[in-house]
Amino acid sequence: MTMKIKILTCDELDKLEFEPTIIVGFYQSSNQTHFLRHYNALKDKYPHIDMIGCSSESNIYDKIPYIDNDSKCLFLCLQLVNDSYKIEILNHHEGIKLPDKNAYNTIMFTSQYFDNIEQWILDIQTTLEGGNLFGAIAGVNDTQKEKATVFYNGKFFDQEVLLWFIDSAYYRLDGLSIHQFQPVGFEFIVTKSIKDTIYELDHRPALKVLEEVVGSITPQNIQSFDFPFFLKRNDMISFDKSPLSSIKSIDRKSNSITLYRYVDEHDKLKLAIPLSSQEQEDKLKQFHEFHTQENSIAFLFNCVGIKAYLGMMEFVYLMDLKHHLNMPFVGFHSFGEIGPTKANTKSILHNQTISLAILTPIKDKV
Amino acid sequence: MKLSKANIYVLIKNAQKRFGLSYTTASELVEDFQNLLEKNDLKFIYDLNYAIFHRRNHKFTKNILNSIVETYVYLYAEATTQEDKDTVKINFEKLFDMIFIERCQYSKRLEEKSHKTQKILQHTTKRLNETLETQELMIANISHEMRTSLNAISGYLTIVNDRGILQGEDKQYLNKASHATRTLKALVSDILSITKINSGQLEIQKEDFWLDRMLLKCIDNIALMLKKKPKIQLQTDIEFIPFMVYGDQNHIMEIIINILSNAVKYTDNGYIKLKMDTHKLSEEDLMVNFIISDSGIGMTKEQVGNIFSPYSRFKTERQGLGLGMHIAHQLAKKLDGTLSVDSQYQSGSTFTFSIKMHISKKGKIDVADRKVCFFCEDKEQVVFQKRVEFLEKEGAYVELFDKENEFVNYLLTLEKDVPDFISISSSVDGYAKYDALIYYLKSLPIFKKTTFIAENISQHISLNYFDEVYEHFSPITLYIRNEHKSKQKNQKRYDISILAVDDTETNLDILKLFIAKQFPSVTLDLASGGYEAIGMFKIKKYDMVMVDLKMPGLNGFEVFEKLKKIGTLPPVYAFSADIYKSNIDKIEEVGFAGLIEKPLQPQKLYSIIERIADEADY
Repeated sequence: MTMKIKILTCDELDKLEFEPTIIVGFYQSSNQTHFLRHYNALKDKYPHIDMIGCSSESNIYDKIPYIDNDSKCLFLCLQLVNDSYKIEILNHHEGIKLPDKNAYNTIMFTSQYFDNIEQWILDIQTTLEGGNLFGAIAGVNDTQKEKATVFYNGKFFDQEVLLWFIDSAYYRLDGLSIHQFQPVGFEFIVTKSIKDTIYELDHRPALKVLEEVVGSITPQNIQSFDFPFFLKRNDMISFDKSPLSSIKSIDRKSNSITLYRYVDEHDKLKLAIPLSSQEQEDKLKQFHEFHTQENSIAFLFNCVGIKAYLGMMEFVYLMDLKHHLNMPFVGFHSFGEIGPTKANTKSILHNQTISLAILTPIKDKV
Repeated sequence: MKLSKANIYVLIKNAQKRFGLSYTTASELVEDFQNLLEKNDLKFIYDLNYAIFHRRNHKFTKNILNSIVETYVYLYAEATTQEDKDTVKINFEKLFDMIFIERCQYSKRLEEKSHKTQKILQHTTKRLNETLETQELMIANISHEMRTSLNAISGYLTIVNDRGILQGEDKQYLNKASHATRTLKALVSDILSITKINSGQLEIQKEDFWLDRMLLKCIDNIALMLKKKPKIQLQTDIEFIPFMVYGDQNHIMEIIINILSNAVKYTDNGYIKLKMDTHKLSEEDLMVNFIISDSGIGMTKEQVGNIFSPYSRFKTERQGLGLGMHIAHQLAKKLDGTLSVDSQYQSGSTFTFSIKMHISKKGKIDVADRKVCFFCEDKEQVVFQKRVEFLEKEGAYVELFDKENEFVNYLLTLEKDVPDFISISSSVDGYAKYDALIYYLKSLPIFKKTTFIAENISQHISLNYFDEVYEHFSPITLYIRNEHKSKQKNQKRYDISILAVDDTETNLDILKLFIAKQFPSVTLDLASGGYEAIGMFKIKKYDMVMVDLKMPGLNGFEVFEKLKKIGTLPPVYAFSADIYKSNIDKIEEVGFAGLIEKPLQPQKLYSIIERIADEADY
């Protein structure tokens, strides 16, 4: 038995030619009802399936128009080996619960950023040493009208984390998170912060310090995800290996900057500037190394910042990816991606990356 | 809109012709286009867009644009109904928008990003420069303090060494301490040089000088290093020129000394050759090439590529930190010169330093009335030959001997037309023999005005009657002197009074010891502060004053101003470790006679004192 794969839009669901064991759906938050209706229809047809899902800013897949702003939902139908995966829906206010057996790869979808997400990312990788971890954050619930959610077998969750554990004895999960920036200038030390908001950098009002470097920050700049930071938490790693983080909002009254993640006092920041076009393309070519003749499926999580930056050109990069990967891919525009920036390193949470996770059946086992 | 067979045929033919496609490929392309028009299938647009991205060829993109326009014109004309015309129009607008307008918008976004990036980089550069300035100031201050302390340490070590009271192991420790101090002094000096060059503080001080004399000073500078490596032979090949040049002698010397030191450092046996040739660029300008080659360890290609980078030293067991060649290279650039290197691994290296200099109007050689006699046991010596050729060209009468009996016979039988200069290059034993002969000749009235010169002395020999002794070659200016100066000249002249003001006791101690050693008859009065100095100056007449610039209470500048008000000032020298341009400018501006650097360089101090004593005598 090989791993059967089919990516379908809403209109194509009747074209499914095999009985899936699991369906992974991506839907825009405003289309939850629509998605649920399809789930019910699929469940009627395939009573034994598990269906998981994640809301998205917009969907991505390997067919024209590649970036689907209009299509309501995408469905990745997979026929996996029985009992080769586990699914957990966990409330992030409660603790993380991991399988007893440690040989699992993990795909993590979370409706939004939460306090302990980085600790969870660390715990998963420390406990499940036998596998890799990838994932994405669906939305930002304090700014979006429609709440971002994750989905599991008929229910939507806006405070929960969906963990999909895939047995690494049967399936490999490889991939990479690539950003297109480099650190520049002097580092700033966070001297006052609460949660995701920085009030002081180097003991001076944070917004003032930042605007001295980049000039006046407009709402348009924030919308375009301009001026990302490299955020260094640990003195042992360099800024090059630190995660990128974007500005979510600014507040002129308190002279503060709010990021898409929590910041601790003593964290260090460096501004990020884009690599040259040639360097950007060269970096993206790292994905070509995942080219395979095997029966694989790729999950693609592109930051909404990438979409804002590349605009329509994003589909050109996706076409290029399609030409070189030799496998179907599906995913969405996210508000945070989880993946490693280099092979054989731990996954971290970033912004402004293109993160690719490839699920491949292990030959002798599947 | 449905395309007719005729339309399809024309489009296929056009695609084949314009893009050189096969019939099948062109047909597929046209089919995709047909699907766009008939079914609103966007594949054609996406593929076209990707092809433009993939090809990155301006001609190709232009070709596509032309093809779109042509096809639009053709199909619009072919459309028979308004509805078809509208379909053509809408689809071509879509095509144009997705391929070109979107691309332009993306370029605009990139441009905006680039502006933002530029702004960040500008700010970063500004802050970096500010930080560098602060660091530079800090380095300058630290170096100042280090220089002052090093001055004291090296001074005391020299004194202890000169007294010869330490023996055996203790003496070895002293030597090691002296060696470490020298290394540290060189490092501080290198760091200061780099800081000065990088900060644009390097002061170009041009003066008139003789090139051959400058090279002699360079050789003197490495003499000690050379003595430790007896298997190296220093060869010189100097082109003599009959005029002075105008340039920054000190920095040119620094470059040459750096290269020579490097050559000695990386050569264990064989030769080091110092060559100088010139090329007249115009009546005013001269291109001078200094070529220093050695038979040392040479460099690999990679090492050659890094030789001018800071800290490029590749043989760690060798002395130094590798800053020398970096400084030399930077200095050469600052002087608008070039420094290049050619090297063969394990065969040796050749450094070429070229610099344009002005021809000075001062000090033209005039030897037309001179009679010069050379005796050289080795006739083939390039140095002598070049000098003989030069002197003859300039109108001097030259006698050249290479056989001892002929030379001695010539000297003993001379009755008239006695040479103004007799230059001897001989063996070690030979010099001692000729020293005795000169003793005899000097007793004869006809040799009273003759200058006897010993050249190419490779070992230290005590010669009592030669007037001039040169380890390598004598400078060409020697031959234009009106009368020679005896070695025992004018010792009695150094009968002057000096007032030295410094708040650091060790500095005064060292100054006193150095001056007393060289000029026992000089009176040196010491003051530990500005007010004390002013009091002393009021009651005694001094020929020279030295004032430390950095003192508590009255600083050096304030002391100088107060001394000016008392009466006529003798030459007042600033005594300071702060040799930055801004400080030097200020020293000149207020009217100091000059700067005596810390750590004390005794030879420089001695030449200042000699000059002042000379002037006092006249």
